[in-house]
Formats: sequence, C-alpha cells, structure tokens
Amino acid sequence: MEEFKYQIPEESIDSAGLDARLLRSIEESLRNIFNHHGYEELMLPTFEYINLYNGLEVDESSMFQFTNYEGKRIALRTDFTVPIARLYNNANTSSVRRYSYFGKVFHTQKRHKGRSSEIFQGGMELIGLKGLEGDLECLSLIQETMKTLKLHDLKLELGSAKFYKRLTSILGNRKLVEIMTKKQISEMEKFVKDHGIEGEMKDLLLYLPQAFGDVSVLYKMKTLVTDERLKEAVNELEELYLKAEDKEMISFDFCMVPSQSYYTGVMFNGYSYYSAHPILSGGRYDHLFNYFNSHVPSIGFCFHMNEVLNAYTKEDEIYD
Amino acid sequence: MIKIAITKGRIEKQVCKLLAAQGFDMDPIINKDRELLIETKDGIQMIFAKANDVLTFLEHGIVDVGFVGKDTMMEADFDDYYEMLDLDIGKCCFALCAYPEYKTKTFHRRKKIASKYTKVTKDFFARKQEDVEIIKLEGSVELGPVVGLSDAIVDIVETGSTLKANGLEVIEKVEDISTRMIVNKVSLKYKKDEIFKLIDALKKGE
Repeated sequence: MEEFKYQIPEESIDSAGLDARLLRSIEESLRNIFNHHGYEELMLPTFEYINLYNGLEVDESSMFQFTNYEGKRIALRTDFTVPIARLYNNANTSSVRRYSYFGKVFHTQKRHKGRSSEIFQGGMELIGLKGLEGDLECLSLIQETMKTLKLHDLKLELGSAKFYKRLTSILGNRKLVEIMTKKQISEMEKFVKDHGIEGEMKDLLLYLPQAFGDVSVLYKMKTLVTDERLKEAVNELEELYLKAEDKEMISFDFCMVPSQSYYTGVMFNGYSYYSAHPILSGGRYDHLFNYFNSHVPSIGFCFHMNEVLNAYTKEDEIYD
Repeated sequence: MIKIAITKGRIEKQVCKLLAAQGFDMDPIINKDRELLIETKDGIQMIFAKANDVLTFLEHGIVDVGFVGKDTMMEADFDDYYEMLDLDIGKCCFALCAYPEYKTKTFHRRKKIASKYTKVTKDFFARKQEDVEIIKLEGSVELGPVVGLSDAIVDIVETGSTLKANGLEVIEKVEDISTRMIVNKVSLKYKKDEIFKLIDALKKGE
C-alpha cells in the first residue's frame, strides 16, 4: 500500500478551494487594519529552542520536538507572544512597539478526532503601553477586526487575571482552580461547606460559576466583593468598559481562568455563535518581560483562524 | 433551543426520570422506538449516544449539553468543557482489585495491572509514585488475575458481586464516579438562561 501518495498525516491540515480563498481574504482584511494602525508585521522563526519556554509553565509535551546539530532541543513554533517578547528585548529599547503576525503554531494532539496539530493564528502585540491606555487601544482593535469579519452574533468577553490571581491566593487551594476552570457548581458548594467559608466570601464563591453575561454581572460583582484588591480588579474592568467607545459586543466572565500563566490584567475571549470554540483570545501580560530581566507592560490578542473559518462555513449553510 | 446528548442506557433512564419529575416533557423519549434524535415539547433536542461519543459531540458543538459518567470523562483526552453539575446518580467507583494475597505479597518485578481504563490506571499509580506494567483489556477485566495475565485490575466497582464470585476483592479505592452534566464552553455564553433553567430543575430534583 502506498497510502502516503493519497493521504496526509493525521497531524496536518490542508486548505484548498474556497477555504484557502476565505482564509487569505480574512487574513488580508485583518492585515489592512493592523497596518492602518501602525502595526509592523513580523515573520517569526519556525524553530525555537525549547529552553526559551523554561519557567513559563508552557506544556512541553504538546511541542513537536527535535534535536538540532548542536544536540540542543528545538521545537516547531508553539506560540507567537514569547518569540515577539524576545525580539523586542533584543532590540534594547523601552519605546512602545506595535507588532502583528500571521502564521501557524504547532501543538501535538493525542488523538485526532477532528482536531489538527496545525493552528493558524493572526494577531498583534502592543508592547510598552501600560494600563488603561494600552487596554483601550487593544480593545478597540479587537472590536474593529471582529467587525470586519462580518460574522453574525459575535461576543467579546472580558475577564480579569488580576481578579483570578487575588482570589486563588486568598483561598490558596488548587482544587479551586479546577472548580473555576470547569464552573463546577456542585463542587463549589462542597468546597464552601468543607472549608467552612461564610459571609461575603461564601456569597461570592457560590455566585462565581454564573458570574458571566452583560454589564449587570459587573455591577452585581461590585456588590459582592469586599477585598480591596478584588475590588480594584473589578473597577479596572468597569473603567475599561465605561471608556470603550463601542460597548455593543462586550460581556464579562469573572470566573475566567487565564489560559496563559503570564496574564496579569484584562483577558479577552471572542466567540461566534457558529463556532464551538473561541475565535479569538488574548490578554495583558505585564510580567512576561521579568523573564527577560526587564519590565515592559504589554498586551495582545490573536484570532484562531480555523475557528473563524468554521464560523463562516456554518453561517453560509444557514444564511444562503 | 438547546441540544442535549445523553449516554444511552442507565444514565438515559435516570436523567429522563429526574427531568420528568421537574415537569419536563419526557413522553417522546419514554415512548421512543429506535429513533436516535428526539425533540420534546419544551424545545429540547435530544440525541442518545455511547458515552465517549457524547464528549465528541460536545467538543464539536453538535450539542450544547451532555450527560455522561465521570469514568468516561476521566479516561478521555478532551476536557475543555464546563462540568456544571454532579447529579449524584449512577454512583460507583474505580477501584484497584486483586486476590487478597496482593496486599502482603512482595513483588520482585513490575506489577502487572489489567484495565479497560489505562489512563485512569496510569494516573493512579503515578500519584502513588509506583511504576507498573499496564495491560489493556476490553471486557471482563476480572479475567486478568483469574487466568494469571495480571496481578491486579483497575475497574469500575458497583456491587462487587463479580469480584466476589471470582475470589477477588477491593484493595484500594481509586476515585468516586457519578453522572455529570457538562456544557460546551461557547454554548453556555449564548444560551445562559436556557441552560440554567435545566440546571435549576436538576438541582431541585436532587
């Protein structure tokens, strides 16, 4: 059997015909917006040293690993943010830089039940602009790019890594991370009971699995939170919301768990009704540069292009 | 409208009973013949599938909600969903089982453990910091020790009668199992009210 003449490896993905045209036209419309706002496009290495990710809690087992001629471990690109941070750091500057990128990252999958190891991303990093000013620029760019997709029923959800980190440090319990990640209502009730948590903290924890939705959720959170630093985190999201020019798509999730350990502030998830997984994700990461021995506040996001494509394909079936 | 996938068999019967008790229209399901997809008067679409497929349908967004046993969830490689309710039904446990000698015997080689649930077995021995050889069997796992293929098994224990009939016993409990309600992460954001209506009803039924 010469099956390799007909079949591609389970790990790979190809795009032909309409899919390829669609992906390229989505890419082009995103690129136009990034260019228009002065984001410089980067083409990043396909191979990186695995040691670049030491200490960043990045899962090595999902990397495609090789040994290079020096006998050092290298891997196919696993993300864009860390390589871009390195590039900025090498430039030895402290000025604000705006970068965009398009390309694939590669994650191994245990079984390929319709999952691919090649993940096409397009996104931006805004490096060196701290606090509300940076958050607002990133937020408005997310909204502008999401709208240019012309998809129906989009949602942009905001969460706070600051809120999450403060809450888990007050309660200092690993079990809580799983409960929040999976919004386990039953386990949360058990957790509150087993730890004898009473009063305001009890009310807050029991509400958390359903603490998502429109701005009314944010105002409800304000009444539940008493800890100063939790308050600060909620207020930050409120301020961002109030200052945002466009509030139409925005919703909140206070139970959002950071998808990257280096997130420190606002986090984003973009959804289409027609895609089973987020089409966009991102967040503020003010401490990633500590790893490179510098202090540079940063924020960024990326589109998961194949999820965007899925949403297009489903919408076509429904609206045509 | 929300779409639900329910594990065929015992879980299907128990979940439908819970929902019927809370006033949901379950007649089309109780009276169903061989249809795999059913719509109720409450605007709920239901499909009935094998446990692993319930997870696959949920992952691909074919259904919003799934009812599945914790045993299937623990063995699966996909866990990017919300696990909103422990229904406290279908209760049993994973356990390490063997002949009574297992407890006192000294092994001068790697222990051999037979199981249908190789991931659960591997995770369990990793927590115990033990290295064992795992042999996958598809059914009647008790045969492992009986025919001398393995020293012990990791399997689901309900009443323990099969174990007893073969002279085996529970050496150690691995993990409790019960039926869970799981939700696709994107679905929850778009159908909060409908899904919480279901959650509230099921909580009342507990």
